[in-house]
Amino acid sequence: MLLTGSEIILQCLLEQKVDTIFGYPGGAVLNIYDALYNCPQLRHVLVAHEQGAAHAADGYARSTGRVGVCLATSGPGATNLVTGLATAYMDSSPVIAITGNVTSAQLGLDSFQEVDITGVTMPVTKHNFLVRRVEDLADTIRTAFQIATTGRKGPVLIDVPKDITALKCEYTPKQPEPPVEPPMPDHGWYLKAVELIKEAKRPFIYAGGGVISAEAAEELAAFAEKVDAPVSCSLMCQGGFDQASPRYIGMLGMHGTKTASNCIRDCDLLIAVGTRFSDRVTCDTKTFGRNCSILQIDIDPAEFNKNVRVDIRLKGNAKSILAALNKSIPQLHHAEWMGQVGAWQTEYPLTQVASDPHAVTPKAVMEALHEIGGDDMIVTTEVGQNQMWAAEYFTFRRPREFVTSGGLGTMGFGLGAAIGAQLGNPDRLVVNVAGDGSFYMNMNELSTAAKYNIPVIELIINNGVLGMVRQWQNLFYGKRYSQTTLEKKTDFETLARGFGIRAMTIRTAEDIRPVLQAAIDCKEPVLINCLIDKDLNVLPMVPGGSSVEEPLLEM
Amino acid sequence: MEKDILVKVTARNNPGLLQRICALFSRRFFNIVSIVAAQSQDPTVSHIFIVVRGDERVSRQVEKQLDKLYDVLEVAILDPSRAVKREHLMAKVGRTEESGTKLIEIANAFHADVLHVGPETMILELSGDSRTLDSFAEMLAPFGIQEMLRTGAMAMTI
Repeated sequence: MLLTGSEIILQCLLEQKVDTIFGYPGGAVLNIYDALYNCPQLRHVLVAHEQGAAHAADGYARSTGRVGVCLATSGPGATNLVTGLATAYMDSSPVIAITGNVTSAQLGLDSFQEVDITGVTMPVTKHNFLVRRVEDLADTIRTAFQIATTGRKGPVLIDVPKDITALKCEYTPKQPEPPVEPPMPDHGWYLKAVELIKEAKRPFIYAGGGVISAEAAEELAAFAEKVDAPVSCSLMCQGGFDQASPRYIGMLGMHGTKTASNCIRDCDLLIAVGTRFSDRVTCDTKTFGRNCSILQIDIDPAEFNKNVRVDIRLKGNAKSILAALNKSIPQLHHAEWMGQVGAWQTEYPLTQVASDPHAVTPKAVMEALHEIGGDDMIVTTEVGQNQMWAAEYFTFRRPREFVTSGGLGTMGFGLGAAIGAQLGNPDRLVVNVAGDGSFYMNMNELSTAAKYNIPVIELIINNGVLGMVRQWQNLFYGKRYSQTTLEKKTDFETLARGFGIRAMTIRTAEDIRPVLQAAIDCKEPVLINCLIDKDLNVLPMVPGGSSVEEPLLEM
Repeated sequence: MEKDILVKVTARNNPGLLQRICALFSRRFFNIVSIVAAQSQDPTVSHIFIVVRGDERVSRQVEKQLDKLYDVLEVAILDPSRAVKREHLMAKVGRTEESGTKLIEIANAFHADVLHVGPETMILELSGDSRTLDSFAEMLAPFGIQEMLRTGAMAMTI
């Protein structure tokens, strides 16, 4: 059938089972939006700012496991996506960005709203394309989806000049090809890994986002039982292992638990699955894992020996490798080691003390939220103390229920991501845990939540300061709080009402439960302004440059 | 230990290919000593030879990070003992009546070509491995090198 480039774009999205796109119109994408006018199968969500569209597509992708799609016009529309693409790239999230560009004849002439977006996004996408012929359009989009979803996932940008969106060409529908299963790791390495696991006396499993990306949570749970080992999850793997399990010992690294740092100190084998040993985890790399062998399982061979030395590496899909290991290894028993780990857990629980009995602590808020919201809810976060408190104190039990910007640490990510997650999971409760600083970055998307009645809860943990930076100033800069005191005059309740959404405030510990309950019950977008003490810190904490084995437990 | 690593990249000859490769080197902080892009018999496929300065870890990372680029088909770290390496040098040297003969003697000794002879300058050309080119340049230096151009290395495995 003879279709315009714009119609081909939409047909190709439908081929890939896309149901929702997040975008913002503009001159270079007028033809695409005109085609969208006649395409009820695709729900288009009009955001307030293109950055919000990119974060929403990312939140949709992370919470559903499907590809998230965003659409923007040329020039500023395209550059506004960049932070969102970089966020998705650092956390290996499958996002497709389609940008319009000026006509082919105007390319390279500094035309109005022209920007070399393929050049700009090269370092923050897995790959990108500039489509030069309408005949190449359909296959380019199909290839883009394939690149985004295979191997280590990531964002792909497709830049389409305006004339290509109007030109007609023959379109033949094509079903997406089934994903190619990556090969199993080298057999020699595999046998060595099995031996190493069998011989270990004190094994310790450390799981990363790759477990969620590969849908390997079930295999990981079985593996942990089989090996009889404690499990720690990185920030990206929250929910990749059931945190209600006694095996779960919390995060490892800069804001990891004391139990996890004791485990990395005393284990004789670290089994790292789907993780890239970020500097926020390893802290000082010279002392990280100095007493143990390291076995790393990852889809991306560039991650082996990149940040820490690895003894045995298994390249491949985490799900298939764990499933194979579960067959190859017998039931192991490490009662003494597990007893020691249990004793540490009892000795070093995560605590947070309120300054007075009526003061609100993030810990109490997260625990109440989990209790009222249940196991099925999705938590998105902004970046900073709010993010760490959510990760520390909320009990994540299943994959894809925690959506956060780990690698890039993008303040302003959470609200857009919550909107994307809610649209991908219409029946689930979605709460964005925000800080007041992050809230100011992209609060404009409250208007999107209001416009479409997307029932996300924007929970602002409000301390009036840029808490995480302030915490560092407190520790390392002699309490010289340079530019981290916000204390703006904003009335959050009035602001929320101005956007057309409800607002509530938590002032005391007694308010926590009734307000959360009321917010959840109203089933429409709500802003909760939760007032906390500005001097609360995220603990434990490993100061920069120190060993992961020596976290500060108080400050 | 740091050394020069010669990397051969075989890649789809798509627009922006060189930019993608250079952008990767730049953001991963790999040091490019030289880079040569060469066409192959198949016009849709390019060969790119990159000399990188680094240790074993850099060598492994260069190989694996390049391999992740979608347009890259194959990456090989060439073993110098298993490859023939060639670089190309052109030099414009000051010439007088008496130095002219000496310059031609040096050119002959190196099997270099004389591309141009003018009243005050001569242009010489030589292909070879980097050590040969270094000593050639060293021999020319006393005559006054006014301009010198060198390409990076190309190589073929034996």
